[in-house]
Amino acid sequence: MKENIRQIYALEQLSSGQTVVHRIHAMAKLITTLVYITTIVSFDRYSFFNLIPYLFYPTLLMALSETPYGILLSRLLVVLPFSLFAASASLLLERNSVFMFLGLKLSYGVVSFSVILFRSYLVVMALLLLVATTPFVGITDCMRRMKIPSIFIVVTELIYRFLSVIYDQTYSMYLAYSLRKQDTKGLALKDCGSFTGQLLLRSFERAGRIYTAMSLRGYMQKTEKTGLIKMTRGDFFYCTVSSLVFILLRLLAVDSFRSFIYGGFR
Amino acid sequence: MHMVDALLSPAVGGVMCAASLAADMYAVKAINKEELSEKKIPIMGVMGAFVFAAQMINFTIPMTGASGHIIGAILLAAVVGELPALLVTTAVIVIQCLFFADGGLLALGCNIINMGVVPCLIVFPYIFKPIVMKGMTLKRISVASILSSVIAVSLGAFCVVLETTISGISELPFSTFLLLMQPIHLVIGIVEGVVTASILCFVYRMRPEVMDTAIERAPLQSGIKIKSLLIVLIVITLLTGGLLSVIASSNPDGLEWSIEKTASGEAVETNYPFIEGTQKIQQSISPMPDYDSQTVNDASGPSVAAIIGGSLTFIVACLCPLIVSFFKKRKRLEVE
Repeated sequence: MKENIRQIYALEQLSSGQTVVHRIHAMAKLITTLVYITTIVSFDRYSFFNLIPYLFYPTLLMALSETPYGILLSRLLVVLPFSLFAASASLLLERNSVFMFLGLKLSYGVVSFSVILFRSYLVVMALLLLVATTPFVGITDCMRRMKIPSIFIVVTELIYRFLSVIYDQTYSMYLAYSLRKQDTKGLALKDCGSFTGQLLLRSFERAGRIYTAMSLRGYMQKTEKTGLIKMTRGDFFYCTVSSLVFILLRLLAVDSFRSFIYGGFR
Repeated sequence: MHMVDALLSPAVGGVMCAASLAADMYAVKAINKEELSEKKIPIMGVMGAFVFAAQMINFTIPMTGASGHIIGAILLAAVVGELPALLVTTAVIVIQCLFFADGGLLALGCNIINMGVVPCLIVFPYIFKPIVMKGMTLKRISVASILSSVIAVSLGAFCVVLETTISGISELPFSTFLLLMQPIHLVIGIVEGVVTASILCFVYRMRPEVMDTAIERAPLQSGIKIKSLLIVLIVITLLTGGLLSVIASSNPDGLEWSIEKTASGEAVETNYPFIEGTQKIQQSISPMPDYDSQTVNDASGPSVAAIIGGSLTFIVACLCPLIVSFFKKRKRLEVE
């Protein structure tokens, strides 16, 4: 948990960068990412070559935003297992050979396996890059712009901020627990319920105090009346051009996919 | 249980997003103002943070090689009430998606339905509540927690299987996928049930008023019945699904269609003016005109062309960031 929370804040730290990608409005990035993901998932499970041009988006965005590949890759590895599970099924179940490549007979399963993994890579990278280049305030600003009810935005902001409360409380309680029970390693199973319950009750009180302090400093007023950051022409341009490119790539790909399968079957 | 975009079709993703949006709008409308008191909001925040953190802890399921995490929606609903719990679960899933890339953006709707709507609006009011409403005791809380968690997790897993199968991306047959998913999630459900029961029993012993307010809330104060909401959700699902399938059918590129045409040796023709237009553009700008299906004579021709073209694109795409980085570094050095 400690490592995961560290990773969240590592991604948040990246989002405070000053590159050209960071300066793009969160709304523009969110819409572009959504169009990107939708176009990618609209390809069927054998369109491997049609997906390759989409590789430009994450690679360029990563370079322009100066996002370290290592951080993204470590998150990617955590997210991939489910896709790997589904992809492996294709590998086992689709054994009809589709074409020869370098003397090897490739089956539909191999193509499908590669496509599932490749598209997983693309969509997760796009999402991670959105996270790594957009500060939390940008996302909540987006939500306000979309007229999402304020209660939902408040809860989202509080959950994100109270993560550190939960972490601090867990750490201090666990320290006290391990000091009292020096002979045992870890948390005893019989103490799990009371430990977690106690953790929640303590966190409720602490969070209540924090929230009161936030309210006294005008948090609720601020959330209601906060000035929204406006989208510039550049943001509109980025959003429109990128989305059009993705859609065009999707539409132009229809024929190439067909000929790929056509050729493979003959 | 988080679904990813890569295994989802846009139609299924879109339908689920619409349905989850309707459920959340209902929750926002139906929550009473007194439920969102100065005390309740921070509790919702902390519970959300707790569930978020708990979902990070993956435990390995023996013999399967798979791992799972608790969902925590029943715990949430028991502490803050079912409607606030749905909002909190949605917020947790949104944060996981937008700040942790856990679960897809298009799959948000599916994840909210599977891990939020199912446990909070179906299992909690119809299984957990009736058990504890007869009289709150530690035994009843434990039974209700375990039963609700097992059913909620199993139903959620069933929804995952259903959504993935309908999407048609994975080749796994419905029954095989179901047989693989259900036992794993039964184990997760039991673990979640025991954890939920032990936490709730402790909280009830220490601060009974926390749970009482959540359980005793009249669910129908908004005038909208959950049953009506479910009917609305089904109607939205059918309408959006119908609409999306109409849009999808105007641009067919399904594998079966292609295989059927190609296997019988017929040339693939299209009657869609827009696609024909794009084909003409593509032919005029394509560096490999033989790539056209109409002119294929050699079995390996288009596949090789596709492989070469694809490989070249791949190399260029990988080189691009290196070039950008090179220029960025040079510019930085010049500034220094």
